[in-house]
Amino acid sequence: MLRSALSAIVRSLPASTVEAHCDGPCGVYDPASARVHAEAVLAMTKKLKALEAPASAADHHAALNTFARFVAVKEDEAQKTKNELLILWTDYFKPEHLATFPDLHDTFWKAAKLCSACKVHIDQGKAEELLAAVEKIHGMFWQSKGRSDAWVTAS
Amino acid sequence: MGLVDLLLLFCGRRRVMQVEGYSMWPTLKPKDRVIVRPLNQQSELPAIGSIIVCIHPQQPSRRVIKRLSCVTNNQLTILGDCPDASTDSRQWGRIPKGCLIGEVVALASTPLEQVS
Repeated sequence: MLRSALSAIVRSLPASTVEAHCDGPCGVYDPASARVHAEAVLAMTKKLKALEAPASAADHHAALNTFARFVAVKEDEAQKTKNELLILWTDYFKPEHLATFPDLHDTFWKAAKLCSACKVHIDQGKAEELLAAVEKIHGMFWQSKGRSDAWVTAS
Repeated sequence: MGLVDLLLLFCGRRRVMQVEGYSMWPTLKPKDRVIVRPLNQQSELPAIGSIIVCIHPQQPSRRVIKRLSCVTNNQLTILGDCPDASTDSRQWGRIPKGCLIGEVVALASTPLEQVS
């Protein structure tokens, strides 16, 4: 009774703020975001490789437009993959994780490089390597949380 | 918290601070009020395991609340109770003793339904 009365008095007083959060405050991370974007990179790469030359001059501009759109989406999705990976690398993973995953930095660095390679080239092999790198990171992430969530792709 | 804390508060020997964020969850939750005993450079350091208030080592205008984990050569290792929601000595490294503002000596909890 006395305790709650005292607490009520304290709660009614002006108080300065003291912060108990992280610099990126939500603490919600999931490699699924990177996986979806990496899948999109692979899908767009396959679509680009499957494009056929226009049958006539009349189809030329339409074909160019389709090609440009596919490349733009591939570029965008590769950059989004890189952004998601960088968030996991720099915000989620902490120095103590290196004890469990000594190749953590190398894995993320190579995955980020693959994102760039997928932007520069139309290379299905690189896109598949990127998805495999994201799968490896998926495994590291859930292992660090003491879980073993299955790798499930959307496509 | 007790009557003594309240008396010392009205005498200016204690300060009231309101918690924001989840890095000290479940010990402290957002909107909790804590009573802080101010410390200066001559004060004895709080015991290991105490909850302390410090100046953010990289942004001096901010005040952070963490648990004192270790003291080495007048430098403090401070950690949040909820590691996934905390930025602390794992990122900053040890912080100087001069960043220490005070020690939490009492808590006035906020009812859970008021936490948004």
